[in-house]
Amino acid sequence: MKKKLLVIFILSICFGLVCYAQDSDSVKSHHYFQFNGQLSGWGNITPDINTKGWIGTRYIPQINYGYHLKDNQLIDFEGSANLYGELGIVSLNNISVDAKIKPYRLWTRFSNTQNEFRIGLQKINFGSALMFRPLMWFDKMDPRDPLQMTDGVWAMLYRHYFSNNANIWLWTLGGNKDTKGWELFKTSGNFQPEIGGRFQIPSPKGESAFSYHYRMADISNLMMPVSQVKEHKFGLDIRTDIIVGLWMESTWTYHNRDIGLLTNQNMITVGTDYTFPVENGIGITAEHMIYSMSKKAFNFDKNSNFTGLALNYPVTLFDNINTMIFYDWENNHVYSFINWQKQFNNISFYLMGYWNPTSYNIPGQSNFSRFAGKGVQLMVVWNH
Amino acid sequence: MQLMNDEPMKKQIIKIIICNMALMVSIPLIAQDGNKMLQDIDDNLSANSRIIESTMIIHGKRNDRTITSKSYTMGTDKSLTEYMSPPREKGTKMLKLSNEMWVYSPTTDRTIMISGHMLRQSVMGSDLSYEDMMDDRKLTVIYNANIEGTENYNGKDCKVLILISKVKDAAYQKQKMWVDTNYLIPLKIELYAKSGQLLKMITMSDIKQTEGRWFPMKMTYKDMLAEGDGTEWVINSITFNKQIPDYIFSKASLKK
Repeated sequence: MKKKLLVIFILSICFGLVCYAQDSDSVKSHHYFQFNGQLSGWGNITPDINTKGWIGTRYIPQINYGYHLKDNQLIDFEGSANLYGELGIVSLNNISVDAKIKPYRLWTRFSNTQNEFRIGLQKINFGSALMFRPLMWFDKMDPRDPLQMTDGVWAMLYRHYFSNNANIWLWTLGGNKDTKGWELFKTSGNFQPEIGGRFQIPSPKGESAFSYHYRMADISNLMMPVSQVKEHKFGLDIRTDIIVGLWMESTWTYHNRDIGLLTNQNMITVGTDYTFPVENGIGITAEHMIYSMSKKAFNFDKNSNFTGLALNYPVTLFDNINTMIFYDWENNHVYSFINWQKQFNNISFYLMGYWNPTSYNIPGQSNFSRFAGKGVQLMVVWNH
Repeated sequence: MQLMNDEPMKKQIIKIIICNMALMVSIPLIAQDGNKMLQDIDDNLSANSRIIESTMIIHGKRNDRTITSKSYTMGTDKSLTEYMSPPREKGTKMLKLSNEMWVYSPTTDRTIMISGHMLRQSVMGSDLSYEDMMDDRKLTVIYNANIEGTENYNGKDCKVLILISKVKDAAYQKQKMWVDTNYLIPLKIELYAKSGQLLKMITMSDIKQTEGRWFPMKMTYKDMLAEGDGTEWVINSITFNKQIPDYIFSKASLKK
C-alpha cells in the first residue's frame, strides 16, 4: 500500500512538474520584460555667450513589462528615468554644475486591437507640422535636437481607432506644475483637471483633425483682480499629399477674461516638403508660421512671422547631413543650424554647428534651447 | 524563257514570305513565353498574404549595419513592418495602405504620414527604397516580358527576360532578369530608369522549398548610384497565405 502511495505520489510530482513546466512556458510566452537604455555625452563650445562651453552626459534607462491577456488584450508598463549631469564653463574659475535625476516616463496601459488606455507620466503629441508646431500643446521638442528629448506630462489618455483609420483621443491631465508647450501661464494649483480630446479623420489623399483642450490658467503674476482664468484651446490640422506634401496646423487659445493682449493667441503654420531626385535625394521642408496675440480673436494686426527651411541629404548609407534655417521677420534674425550624423549599429555621432542670435526669440523654444549664439556641439549616443 | 528565269525568284519570294510569317507568328509566341514565365515567377514569389521575419545587413565601405524586422503583407495594398533591432530603430513601424504610408517612431511616440515622394528614399540607410519594400504588386500586373535569350549565370542555365513597364507608376521602367529555368526564380535582376540608366541590381540565392514553392531566402540589393557593397536581405522565416487580422493593417498598430 505504501509502495502504491509512493508511486502515486512520485507520479503526481512528475505530472505536477510537467504541468508546471507547461504553465511556465505559457506564462513565459504571455509575459515580456525588456531593459533598454540610451547613454549620451556632449560638448558645446559657444565663445560669444557668457557660458563658453558645456560638457554633459545623460543616461535614460528604460524597462518595459507586458502581460498578454486573451483576445489580443495587453497590460503593459513603461518606466524610464532621466539621469543627467552637465558642467557649464564660464571660465576656468567659474564652472557651474547641474545634475538631476527625475522620472522620464512612467505609465501603465491597457490596450486591445482598437482601444488604448494609458495612465501616468507620458508623452502626448500630435499634428503635422515639423518645425513650428502650433499643436505643441504637451511637449517642448526642439526640431534640431537629434534625440528629440522632451519631458512627459501626468495624464490619462484614451485612444480609439475606427476601422477606417479615423481615431478619437480623450485625455485628462493633472499635477503638472510647469508650463507645457506654448503655455503662457502655469495651470492653476487648485485641483481642477485639464481635459481635452482630438478627432482625426481620413480626408482625400491625407487626413484632418480637430483638437480641443481646457484648463484653468494661473494668472496671479499679472496682478489682475482674479488669479485664474478659463483657457480654451482649439486646433485644426490638415495634411495632404498632392505631388508634394502639404500641411496646415492652426490653433486658437482663448481666455475667458480680458487679460489684454494675452486674451487670445492665434497660430497658423503652413508647410510643404518634397524630395528632389538629385544624387541620393535632397529632401526639402519649408514652413511659415504666423503668431499673434490680441484682445480680439483672429486679429492678426500685431503678429510675428517665422519661416523655416530644412534640407536633408543622405551622403552615404551611414552619413546624413541636415540643416535648418529659421528667419524671424519681425527682428530680421536668422537662425542657422547644420548637423552631420554618422550612424552605426548601436552608436551614433552628431557634429552640429549653429549660428544664432544670442537672445533667442524663436517662439516656444526660447526657454530650453541650447543653441543660442554661435557654436559647435559634438554628441555621441549609445543605445542598448 | 522569261518564265524560266522567274521560277527561282518566285521560290525566293515564297521563302521570304514564309520566313516573315514565321517571324510574325513567333514574336508574339516569344512574348507569350516571356509572360508565361513571368506568371510562373509570380506564382512562386507572390501570395495572398506573407509574414516575414528578416535580417537586413547594410554593407558600407568600412562598416556594416544590421537591422531585423517582421513584416505582414496582405494582397498588394496592405503592409506593416516593425523593426526589432538595433535598439535605436526598435519599435519603429511602417504602415502602407494603398498609396498612403505612415511611420511610427517610438522615440517621439508620434505617427507621421509620409509624402508619396518620400517612397523613393532609402529605408534605414539601406540600398532598398520604401518603394522596393512595399510595392508588392505581381510582376505580371506591372510588366510585359520577352525572352531575350539563354545565358549561363553562376553555373546555371537561365532564360534572360526583358520586362517593360505597362503601368505609369512602376518604380522601374525596365528590368532585365536572369531566371533559373528549374526553379522559375530570378537569380539576378537589373533595374533600369526610363533614361536607360542602371539604378539597382538584385541577386538572389539560397533558394529553398517552403510551403510547396521555391523561394530565394537571401537577396542582395545594390544601389548602383550609392557607395557601399550593397544590402543583404536574409529571410529568417516566411509564412504564406495565413489569415492576418484586419487590425494589423490599421493605425491602431502604430503604437508602442
